[in-house]
Amino acid sequence: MNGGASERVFAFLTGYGVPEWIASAVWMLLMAIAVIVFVLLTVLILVWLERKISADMQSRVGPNRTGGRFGLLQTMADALKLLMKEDLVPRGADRAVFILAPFLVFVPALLVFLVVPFSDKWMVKDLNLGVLFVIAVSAFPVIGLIMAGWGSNNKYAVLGAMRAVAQLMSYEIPLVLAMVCVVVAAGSLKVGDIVAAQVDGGWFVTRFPLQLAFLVYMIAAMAEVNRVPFDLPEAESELVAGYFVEYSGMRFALFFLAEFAHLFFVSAFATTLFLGAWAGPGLPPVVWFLAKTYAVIIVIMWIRWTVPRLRIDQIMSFAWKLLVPASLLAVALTGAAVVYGKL
Amino acid sequence: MLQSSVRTEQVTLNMGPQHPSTHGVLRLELVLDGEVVVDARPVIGYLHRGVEKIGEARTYPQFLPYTDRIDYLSAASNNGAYVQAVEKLMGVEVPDRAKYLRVIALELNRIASHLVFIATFANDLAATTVFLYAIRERELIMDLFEMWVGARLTQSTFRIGGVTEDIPEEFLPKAREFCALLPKRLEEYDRLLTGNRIFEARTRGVGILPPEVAWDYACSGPTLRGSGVSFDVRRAEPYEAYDQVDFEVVTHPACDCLGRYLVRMGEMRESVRIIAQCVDRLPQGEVRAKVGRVVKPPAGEAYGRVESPRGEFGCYVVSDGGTSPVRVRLRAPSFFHLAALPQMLRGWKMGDVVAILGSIDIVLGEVDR
Amino acid sequence: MMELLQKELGEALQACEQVGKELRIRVTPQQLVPVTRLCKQHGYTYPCDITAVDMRTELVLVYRLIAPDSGEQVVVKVGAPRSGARIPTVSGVYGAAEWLEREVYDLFGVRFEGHPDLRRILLTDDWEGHPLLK
Repeated sequence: MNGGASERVFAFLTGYGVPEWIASAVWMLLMAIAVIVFVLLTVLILVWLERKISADMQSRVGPNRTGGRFGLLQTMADALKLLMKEDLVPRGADRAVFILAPFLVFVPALLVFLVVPFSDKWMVKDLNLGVLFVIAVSAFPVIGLIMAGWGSNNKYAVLGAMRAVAQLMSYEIPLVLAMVCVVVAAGSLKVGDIVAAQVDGGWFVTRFPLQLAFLVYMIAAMAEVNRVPFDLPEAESELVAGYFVEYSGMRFALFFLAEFAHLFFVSAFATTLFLGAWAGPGLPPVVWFLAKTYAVIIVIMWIRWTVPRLRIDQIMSFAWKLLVPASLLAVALTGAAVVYGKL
Repeated sequence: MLQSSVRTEQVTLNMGPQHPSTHGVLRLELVLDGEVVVDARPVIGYLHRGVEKIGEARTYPQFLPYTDRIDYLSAASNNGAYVQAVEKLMGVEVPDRAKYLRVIALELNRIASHLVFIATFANDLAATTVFLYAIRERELIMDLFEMWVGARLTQSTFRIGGVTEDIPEEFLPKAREFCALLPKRLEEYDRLLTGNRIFEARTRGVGILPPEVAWDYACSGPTLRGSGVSFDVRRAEPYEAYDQVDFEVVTHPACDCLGRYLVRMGEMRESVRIIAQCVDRLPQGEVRAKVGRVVKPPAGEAYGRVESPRGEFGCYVVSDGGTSPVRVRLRAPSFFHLAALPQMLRGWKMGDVVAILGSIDIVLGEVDR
Repeated sequence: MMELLQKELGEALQACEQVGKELRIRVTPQQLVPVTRLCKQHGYTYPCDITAVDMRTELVLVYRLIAPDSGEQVVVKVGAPRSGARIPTVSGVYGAAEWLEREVYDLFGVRFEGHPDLRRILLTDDWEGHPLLK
């Protein structure tokens, strides 16, 4: 689904006598760099956006010095500062575990971008098992969290990690079930097919009973990204940053980047699954895609700055007593709708 | 089968003295069994400045600015208790205008302190936006004080015999504006906090303080009134002009964090009423009684009590006829509330600790002195 | 209240004076617990304050008990030597006494017998001396 770009690059290289496997590798490397660059740029923008939106809601201005009146280079400056900090591994910490943890959280956040359809011609790889791939890869950060908490040799970190893991695993179920609804409605795990089904028949969110699935997805997604009201695992005021309390500098930057990358991803995926991805009249598809994704992100940020946070047992009971039954109901309704030809 | 072979142990977790939510330098040793608090031991003294000892080495007027800094979020009430005790000893009659001005200062401080409570309480529960809104309103109060006495926080508005100086012309209109504005803002906080299901879930039924326990630990103020007890020093032993203004003593029967929060919200509204009445009925006259430059109260002792935003703030002064007191004892409400805190924490979860601690609204400055 | 105390204590009541809302009495340390208990039974349920004053010749412990309904106060004073003082604890009568007595111990050096946890509260654990003594 690259508009033939991968074939052209491939043909170009092999035309010069480059062996096929090297040509493939070069293509993959190019894609990897493209994804990394895109994600990093996006995170830069998202952090700035969060600060400006929260400031506006709180009668403040937000960054307005670095990089002109709108503080556009603020995040850049903060990132540079983080990179220049001393690299600390706490005494008594399990070195290997401590150092490896951020990567196990960051890399999956990048990996999922393989199946995001930025436009009708831009998707890194339209895997046959697209949605399943996303679900599988999203399970890795949980291990990274446990490693971070345990490896830090800090009680607060361990507490934070335990809570985070409990929360993530509990909300994964409704999240997956909501995705299953869409898969059932589209009849395929392939992201390309899901988008195609919406281009023809209208956005999934407009089709009953997928509104329920959309709602479940949004709530579960906020919990997966640890955003208020579900941010207890990293609650500043309670656990002083929770599982990544002992991380500083570059390592902390990785966690931070991973969180925002994940935020972008769940919004992009929501757009893909429910809001018709890049479909829209007039403007180029990629503009539609980004516009919808950012709309979702802004709503998530809006909620974050309005509402207090839930306690961990309330988060858990909400997941199991409300969200899981709701998602099961959504699957049942969707299944019934498909069988009776209403979808 | 698996249940009995899994061994769990209790963990002692240290909260503070540096912690974003302990409202000052407080150390809480929490003994946890999983998420449940089994015991809590507050460790205080990190902000002990020896104020009571200093009092013995200062003259009576010199000690007054020190009182501002004890409960620094509500300077006037500390002033009020100290000055009440000294004036009782000396038998000083404070002019009426000064009494009304003192009430205005006290109530403005009450609102400012409660706004800080709302701000920090909301912030602890992650409603960060409310934090900034409340602080914004508090700035208006700081502006009023700056206009009057030149200081924002440690105002020292009181003097032995009256107040520092008379209010400037712009003060009354600005005060009226503030009284008109605040109730509207309080409605906004109601929408964001009181009516919010998540806020309610974090505070309703949490951190129960039964009235018997509250009395046993000499709790007062909103902490006590949130347990349904109608005790307010302004009614029990009226001082300044409180016997001449109309106000309700706000209580709530629930004994939980939500109750204490609602009491403070209600008190802000009542304070606005009181200020409006004082502003309208402000008598003309002197603002300070003639006391003389050298203050030498006759030998004896007196206890001045004031309803500070936190509860009963008392000042026990013992005099031997000299220029400095023999003893100045400051009875701070937060000390007692903190002593009662372990009772309120046992059996609750780690996530509730922050909410319960926030709901009693302590200031370490007055706990440690 | 004054009559009640005079009847109960008789000779043991060393001083008794009503000043405004305060009923100021002085008793011996042995009577401290019975007197406070009596007061609590008769409505003085609010243990407003417990502190000490160094009068140079002796320490005077001041217990301020208030009846919340009427606002009447009983101020119980107990004399103690400036060093080596041993006073019975009233933490069995009022819960607030636990911390209040710790503070008096910390700053004045008065030991409270029967206190569940008598250690310094405001100063550091290894502080030497009792600062509020003159």
